[in-house]
Order: sequence, then C-alpha cells, then structure tokens
Amino acid sequence: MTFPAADDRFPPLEESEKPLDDAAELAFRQCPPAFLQDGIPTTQLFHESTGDGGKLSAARSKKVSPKFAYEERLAAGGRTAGTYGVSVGEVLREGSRVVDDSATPGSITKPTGHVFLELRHFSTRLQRRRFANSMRNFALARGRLWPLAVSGNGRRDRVAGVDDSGAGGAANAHGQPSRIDRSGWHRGSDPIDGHSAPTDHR
Amino acid sequence: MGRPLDELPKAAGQAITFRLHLAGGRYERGALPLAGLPELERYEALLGSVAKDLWHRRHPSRKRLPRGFKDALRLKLTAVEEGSTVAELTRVVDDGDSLDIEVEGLLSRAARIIDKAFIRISSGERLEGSELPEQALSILRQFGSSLQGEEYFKFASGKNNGIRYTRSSRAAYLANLREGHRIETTSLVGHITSLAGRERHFVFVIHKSGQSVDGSYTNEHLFTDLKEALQVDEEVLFRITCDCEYRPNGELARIVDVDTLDFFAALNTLLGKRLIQLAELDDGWLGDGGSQVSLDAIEFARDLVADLDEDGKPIPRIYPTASGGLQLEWHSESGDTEVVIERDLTVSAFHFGTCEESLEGARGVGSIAEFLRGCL
Repeated sequence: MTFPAADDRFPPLEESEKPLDDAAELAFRQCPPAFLQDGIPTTQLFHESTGDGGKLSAARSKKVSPKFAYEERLAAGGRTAGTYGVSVGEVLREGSRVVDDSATPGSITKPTGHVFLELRHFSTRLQRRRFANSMRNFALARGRLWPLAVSGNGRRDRVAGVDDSGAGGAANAHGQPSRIDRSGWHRGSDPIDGHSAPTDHR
Repeated sequence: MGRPLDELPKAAGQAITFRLHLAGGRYERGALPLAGLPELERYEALLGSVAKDLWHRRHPSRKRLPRGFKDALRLKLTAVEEGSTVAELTRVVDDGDSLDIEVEGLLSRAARIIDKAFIRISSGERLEGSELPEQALSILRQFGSSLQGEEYFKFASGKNNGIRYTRSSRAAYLANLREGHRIETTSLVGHITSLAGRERHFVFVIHKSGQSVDGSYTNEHLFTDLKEALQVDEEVLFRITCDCEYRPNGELARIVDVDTLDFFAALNTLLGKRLIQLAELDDGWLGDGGSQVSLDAIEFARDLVADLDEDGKPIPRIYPTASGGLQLEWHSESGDTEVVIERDLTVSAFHFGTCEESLEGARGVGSIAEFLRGCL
C-alpha cells in the first residue's frame, strides 16, 4: 500500500518509510578509502551505487553513533576510511529528503538505523551531481566523525556530548537516542594516509 | 606480374625463388611497407635455420657446416608483385658448385617444412614432433609480430586457397607453446633495468609488484626508446603495451614482444605519485566492486592536467570511479568543478558556482581543457 507523498516533487513512499523532520539529525555515510585524497573526500561519497535505485543509503544519528556505523561496516566486511555525515536540514535545503526505511523488509540485511537520501526525483545527471557536490561540501565542513583525530598525547579527541566507547551505538541500536552536540564534531586524521586536519582549496 | 626493383642488384643466376604472400591492411596498397621488411628477414632466418638443421641431419658425422654454407643461404628481395603484396626472395647463385646445388635442395625442403608448420598452426596443433629445430621455433615465435588488424601472410598456396597466418593465429600459436600457458596483450607500468640490443632482450621491473620480468622485442626500432628508458632515473615510469606469457597459475612468465613503450608518470612529482597510486588499484577496490582504473584514462588525466598547468591552473584532486574511470575535482571559493573521464575516454565536466555549466560526452583533451579554462 502506498500513500501520497507529502511533497509532490518526490515519489510516493511505502507505509513503512518515514521522512525525517529533525533538521539537526545527521545521516552518516561510510567513505571507501579510495574516495579520499589527502583526507579530502570526493563528491562520489554521495553518488549512488549501481542497484541503489535512486536511494542513497545512510544511517541516522538517532539510532547509531558514527563509531557504531563505522564498526558495523567493517564487521560486515566492507571497506571504510571513516564516517562522514550531513544533516537532515542540509539535505532538505538542497531539495531532497532523508527517509527512514529501516522497517521496510528487504532482500539484504540493512545496517542499523538505515535511512536513504532521496535521489529518485532528480531527473538529470547535472541535478544529481549538484546535490552530491553540496553534500560533500557539508560533510567536509563537518569533518570526519569517526575515527577521530589523535592528539599529541596519543589520546583520541573527545567529542562533546558523544559516547564514543561504542556502547552508545549499541544502545542506540536498541532505540536509545544518541547524545550528540553537532558543534563538538572534530575533524579526524586519516589512518590511511596519515594526514590530519584536511583542508580544501576553498 | 613481377615488378623488378631497379635499385636492387640483379641476381647473377636465379637458382631458387620464394614468394612470400602478404595481404590485408597495409599490404593492399600495391607496395611493400617498410614495416614489413623485418618479416622478410625473419622468413629468411627461418628458412636458413631449417636448412642448416636438415644439413646436420644428412651429415650426422659432421659437426661443422661447410665453409660458405651460411653465405649460400642468403636471399635477396628481387621483386614485389602488385595487388596484395608478394615479395619475391631469390637465392643468388654465383658459380653453381656442388654446395650451391645441395643448399638449393635444402632450402626447397625447408620451405615445405615451414609450410607444413603453418598448416599445423592454423589447425590449432602444437609443433612438438615437427621437423622444426629449436632455433626455428624461436624465430617462428617472433614471425608475424608486425601484423596489424586484418593483415596476414599466406602459406602453402598450392593447398586449396592456402593458409592464412593472422595476428590471432599467432596469438593462438603462442598460447599453445607450453601446456596451460596463455598469451595476452596487456599494459605494464615500470622501468627498464637492462637491455641487450643484439639479442633484443631486456628486463622490466613492474612497479606495483617489484617483479623483474624478462622480455624480448622484435621491432628493432624500439631499441632507441628502450635505451632512453634505461638511462633515465628509476623514478620515471614507463608503460609498455606488450604480449605477455602467463603461467597456468596466472603468474606473468615473460614479455614475449613489445608493441609500444611510452612515458607514463614520474614518481618525483605529486601528480605522478597520485597517478601511480590510481594505476595500482586492484579490481574490487571498493569492496563490493570497483574496476581497475584504465591506464588510458590516467594518461588522459595526466595530459589534461599538463595542458591546464601551462595556463597556471591548479592541480585537481583525482579519484577513481567505480567503473574504472577517473574523477578530477577542483574546489575553490569561486565554485566547484568536476571532470569525469570514462574508460572509453568520453569525458563530462560540471561546474557549480555563481553560474552552472556542464559539458557531456566530449572527447579529446582540447575540448575539455577549453571548457575548464572558462571555469577554473
């Protein structure tokens, strides 16, 4: 059964699919190592893979922490150099939406807190690329969310308000919201190429 | 109808003539292209090698060939027939002594043995147990290496329409040389560490694996390029396009022949280092997918960046794409620009700034560079 879309720019959603409306909530994407150069991600971080059908997979911050999302990807045998994120507000501002489809049955097991960024309504390659470019810029400005930068004393920088022990992610997986202060996200160094505090040309 | 080549010395006597039939491609233009001359040399060497072996078999008690035997085997190009090219190779007889008469018989027999070998090759048979000696097999491996596209040699013309020896027949033959080995045309990136011009042998170190591979080449004009590549710093890497022999377990055994040798990238530049990193990504670099990046796409990116560098444009970040192409990105206060180079070298560019522009399906460095000059 399908319901009419609240916004007729978008295709209709399934009953089990719920658009997110908290502008401050984050959607996490895992970045493949080859999609970083000198710690800077490519816009392809926000391109869909073949078979995604216009739904760009992510994980919502009310269900998982950046660390949990990262470790879950590794545990599933995937390759990731870290968790990046964009806010629901940023996605809305760029003319799309974030939809929670974690309750929708699928042929493969979805990662915890699964959501998708809507791409189906973008009818041209230019529109999709513009969106990916904006998302990449937002994600880069926020910095890598996990793994975090290692300080001179060898300790990981703490992110204010976030339980990065991993328990937070597990707890969140059981429905507990994460305690996240967006202003506290730090940029992390890249464990692969060792660059820290990456900067763009801008 | 024969067309004598006036500039060549006339034969004093024409004891025996061999007609090597070359057809297709460059050989359809009524003349013998210079690129075909090494094949005539190889055919002469092939005949000579089989003739010498025949002589040894006839004279098992003799260890050495008779004096003047090698000279007696020499052939001259005495005519090139029109249409598809028929090169007429003639053995010149000076005095018709007993050695000349014996050599004439040996060469005729050698030509028939070679024809038979090509008949066996064309039916997919291996040459083990044939009358070809080891040296002739070695020459045969290189014979036909200059063939391009639809070009072919025709042998055993008296048998139906004769046997066509094409580029693909040669590849199949080479693949059949050793049980389970296969020959594949591929590109390798690395540097030359030794070169022996007379033997047409070299050693190539593959940058990615560090493996040293023995190689041979048949095109003598490559010697200058190989020598130059040998003399430059090891940080300068070259791309060779070549026929490689692989063992049954997939290991590279040797480079059978080289088609081209070109500069690829220099490791002592940031751009060069990045290009090499990208060239060395394995299939599956994305985890669930990610094709090996095309070397052609990398060379395109290199040339595009060099072109823009001349105008003082910044060097982009360069990322692989899942389909084996590349994405170049420039991000600055004035906007964001990206270029996508596909494996087939079609290129698209997008600019997001105060104005938005795109160019899709372009080809060639020039057109895309012009677009980018307006954006960057």
